[in-house]
Amino acid sequence: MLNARSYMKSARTVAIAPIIFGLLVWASAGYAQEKGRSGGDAMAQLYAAAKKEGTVVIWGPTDAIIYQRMQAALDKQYPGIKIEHFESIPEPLVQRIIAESQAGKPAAVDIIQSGSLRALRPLIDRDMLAPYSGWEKDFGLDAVYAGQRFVGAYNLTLPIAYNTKMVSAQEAPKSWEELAEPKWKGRKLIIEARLVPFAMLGTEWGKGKATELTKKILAQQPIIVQGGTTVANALAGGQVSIAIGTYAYTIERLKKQGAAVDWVPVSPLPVLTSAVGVLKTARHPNGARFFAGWMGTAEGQNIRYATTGQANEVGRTAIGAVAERIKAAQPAIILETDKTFATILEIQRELGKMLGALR
Amino acid sequence: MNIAPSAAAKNVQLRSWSIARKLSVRSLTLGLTLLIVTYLVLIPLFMLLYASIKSTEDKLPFESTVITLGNYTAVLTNPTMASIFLNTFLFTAGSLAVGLPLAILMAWLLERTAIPARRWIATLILVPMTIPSLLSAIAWIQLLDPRIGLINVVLRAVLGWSGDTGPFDIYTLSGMCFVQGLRLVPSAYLMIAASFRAMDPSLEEQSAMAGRGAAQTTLRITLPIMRPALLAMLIYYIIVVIESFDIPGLLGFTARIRVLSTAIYWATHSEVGLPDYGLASALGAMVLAVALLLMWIYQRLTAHQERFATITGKGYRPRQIDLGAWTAPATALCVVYVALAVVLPFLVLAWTSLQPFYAVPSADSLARVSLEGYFRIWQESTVVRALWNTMVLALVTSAATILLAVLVSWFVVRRRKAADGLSHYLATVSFLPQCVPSIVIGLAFIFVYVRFPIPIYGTLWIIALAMTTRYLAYSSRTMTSALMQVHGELEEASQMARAPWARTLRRITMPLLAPAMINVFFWVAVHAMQELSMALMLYNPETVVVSTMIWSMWQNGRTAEAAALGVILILLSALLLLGGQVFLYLRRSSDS
Repeated sequence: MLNARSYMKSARTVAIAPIIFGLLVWASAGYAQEKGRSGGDAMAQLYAAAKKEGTVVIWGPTDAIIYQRMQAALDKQYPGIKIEHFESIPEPLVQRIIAESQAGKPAAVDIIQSGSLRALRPLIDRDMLAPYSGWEKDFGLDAVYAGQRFVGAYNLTLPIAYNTKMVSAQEAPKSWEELAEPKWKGRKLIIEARLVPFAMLGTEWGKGKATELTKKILAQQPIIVQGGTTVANALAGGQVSIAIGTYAYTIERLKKQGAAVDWVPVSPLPVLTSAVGVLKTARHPNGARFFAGWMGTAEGQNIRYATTGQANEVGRTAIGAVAERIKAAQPAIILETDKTFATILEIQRELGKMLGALR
Repeated sequence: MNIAPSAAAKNVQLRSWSIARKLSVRSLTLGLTLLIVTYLVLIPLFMLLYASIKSTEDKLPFESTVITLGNYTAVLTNPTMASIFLNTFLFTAGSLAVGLPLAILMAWLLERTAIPARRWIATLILVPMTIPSLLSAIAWIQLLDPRIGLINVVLRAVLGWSGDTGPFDIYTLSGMCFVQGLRLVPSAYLMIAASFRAMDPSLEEQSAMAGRGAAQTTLRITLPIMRPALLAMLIYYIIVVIESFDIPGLLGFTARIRVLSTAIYWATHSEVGLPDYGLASALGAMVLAVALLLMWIYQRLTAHQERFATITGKGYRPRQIDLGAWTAPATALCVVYVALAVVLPFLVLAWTSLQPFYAVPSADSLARVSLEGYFRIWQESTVVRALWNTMVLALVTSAATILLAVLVSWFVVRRRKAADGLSHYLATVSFLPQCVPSIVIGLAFIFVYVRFPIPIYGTLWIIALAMTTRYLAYSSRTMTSALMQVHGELEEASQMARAPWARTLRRITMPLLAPAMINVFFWVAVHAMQELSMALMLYNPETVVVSTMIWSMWQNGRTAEAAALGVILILLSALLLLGGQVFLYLRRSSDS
C-alpha cells in the first residue's frame, strides 16, 4: 500500500511538473517579451528624439575611419543622425571643456571619449556628465560606471608581449614576477614610461608589492620610452625581446600584418576601459545617449573591431581574438572602473617618481 | 627781399613738419611694437607666474583659490632636484659642446670658404629641421642601439667583438648630448650664417696682410666680430636645450638621466587627470630666472654694439677663403653631417612609410613594402583641410613673426643708447616666451581668448598668434644679431636725404637684412608646421593641422600613414626651402 501510495504521489508529481515548468516558461517568455518591448520602445523613442536633433558631436582619440564606417551603418539602420567627430587626445579636450564651461561658453560637444576612465575623472569631479540609465536597461550594456555617467566603448588589455624570433612561447614570462629574473637584464625589456600596468597591479597586490616589483624590474636596465606605439614598434622591429605597456589588440594586429610578436594572458591581467560620457551641456543629448549606447551594441562593436581590432575584451559583450584568449586562459582580471581609478592614480604618481616626477 | 625770409620760414616749417612726421611714424611704430610684444608675451608670462603660486594638483590654475608657495617648495625641497639640476647642466653643456661648434664651423665653411658644392650643402643642412624629432631620434636608435644598432652590429663584426651589445650605447648622457647636439645644428647654423655672410672682409684682409694665417685670423678677428651673434645663439640654445624633451623622453628614461624637462613632462602630461600646472610653472619660472640672468649678461657683453658693425656704407663683399689642403676634409665633414643628419633619418622615415609596422630592412620586410600608407591617408576626410591649414599657418605665422622681429630688432639695436630703457625692455621681453612651456602658452591662450570680445577663439588665427609669441624669441635674437652688424651710417645717410623712416627701413635696412629674414622665415614656417603642444590645446575640427594628424596616427599605431604624412610634410618644407634659396640666388644675381 505504502508502495502504491508512494507510486501515486510520484505519478502526480510527474504529471504536475511539466505543467508547472510550462507555466514558468510561458511566464518568463512573456516577461522577456515585455522587457524587450519596453527596451525596444525606449530605444525607438530615443532614436526618434535623436533623429529630431539630427547630429551628434563626439570628441576623442578614436580614428576618424571608425566613425565613417559607423555613419554608413547608422544611415542604413537608423538614418537621420549625422556624426561629427573631432579626433584628439582627451587631456587637452577635458581642459578646454572645463575652461569654456567656466567662461560661460559651453563647448560644442555632446560626447567625450577617452582611452582610459581616469582621463575623464576631472569631468566627474566637476559633475559635468549626465547620467543615463538606458544604457543598462534598454541597450543591455554591462560596462556602465560612475553612477551611469560612463559607458565602456572598448577595452585595452595590457599584457606581457614578446618577440617570437627572440623568445619562444615556453621561454616567455608567465608572471609579472618573472620579469625581475636575471635573464631579462640589460636592454631586453622595453617599458612604457607611464608604468600603467604596474600601477594597476597595485590595486590587486597593494602599493608596497607593486612598487617593490617595479623597482626590481627597473633595475634590469630596461629601455623606457613614452608611447605605446613606440613600444610596439621596438618589439616588432627586434630591438627588444619583451614589451610592457603596449596593448594586446596592437600585438594581434601586428601579428596579422606579419610581425613576429605575441602576448601572454598573464594573471593578474590589467585591462583599461575606454569610456564615453554625455556632457550635461550637450546640445544633442538624445542623439548622444543613443549613439553612445549603439556603439556598445554588437553592431557597433563589430564595426570597431573590424576596423582597428579594438573591442570589449572582458565582460558579457566581449568579442574578438583578445577576448577569446582571455576566456581560454581565465586570468584574474584587474579592470579599471570608477571604483579603482583613484587607487591607480595614486600608485601611478608614486611610481612616476622613480622616473623623474616630482610629486 | 621779402621773398627770402618767407622761403626760409617755409623751409623751416616744412623741415619741422617732416621731422615731426618722421618722429611720429617712428614713435607710433615703437609704441605699437611695444604694445604688441608686451601683450603677446604678458599673456603666457602672467599664466606662468600666476599658476606657479596656485595649488593646482587637481585643478586648473584659474579654478584654484589657494595661493601658495608650495609649488616652489616642492621643487626646491625635493631630494632629487640636486641631481636633476646637475644632469640638466651636463646635458645642456654637452649638447651645446657638440652642436654649436659644429654649427659655427659649418657656417664658416659654407659662408666664408670656397669648398665645393657649398650652396647645395647649405640647403641640405637645413633639411633635418623638417624631420619630426621623434622620428629623427628613432633613426639614431636604429644606428646606435647597443644590440641592434647598425653601427654597433657592423663594428662588432669588423672588430670580432664577442658580446652581443656595444661598443656604443646611445642610452647614456653622452649619447643624449650627441643626438641633441646634432639636432641643434641647422637652427644654430641659420642663426649665424647670415652674420658670416654679411661680414666686411677688410679687417680679415688687414690681418692676412699682417701675416696671420686663416685659422689665426678666424680666431682673432672673425669670431670676436661675431661675438653678439655667437652670444645670442649661445643664450638662446641654453634655454632651448634646458626646455627640450624629445631626446630626454626617448633616451633619458632608459639612461636614468632625469633633467628639468623630464620633471616638466611629468607635471604637464598627466594622463591621470589634469596637468599639474603649478609645479610645471614653478619649474618654468626657474628657467625664466636663468633666462633673465643670461640676458643681463648678454646686454653687458654687447653694450658697445658699434664695435661689432661690419656692414658700412663703404661697400663690402666677403671674400671666399681658399682652404688649400683642408678643402677635402672640410667638404668631407659637411657631407658626413648631411649623410648622418639628413639622409639617414629621411630614409628611416621613408622606409617606415612603406612598412605596415617598423622593421629593420631584411628579406622579410622587403616583401612587405607597400605604398598603402600613402593611399590610406587620402581616405581621411580631414587630410586636405589639414594640409591647407598647415600651409596657411606656416605662412601667416612666418610673416607676422618676421615683421615683428624686424621692428623689435631695429628698436633694440638703434635705440640702445636712449635713456628710457625701452630697448633693453624689448630685448628682454621678446626673449621670455622661450622659457614658458608650450602647454602653458596653450592654456593661457584658451583662458584669455575664450573670454575675448574679438571672436578669434576656435579659429586658425589663435594658433598663429600663439606660435608668433613662441617664435618671437628665436626670430628677434637672429634679427638683432644680424642688425648689429649693419652700421647705422647707411640709414643716417638715407635720413639725411630726407627719406622717411619707414622708407629707410624698407629700402635700406630690410634689403641688407634679407638673408637673415629669409632664414628666419623658413625656420618659423618649418617649426610652425611641426608644432604640436600648442596646436593640441587650441585646434578644433576646422583648424586641424598636419602635426596633430601625424601625432594621432602614430598614437593609434598607424605608423605607415604617420610616416607617409611626415614625408609629405618634409617635401612641403623642402619646397619652401627651395623657394627661399631660389629667391636668394636671384637676388644675388641681380645684385652682382
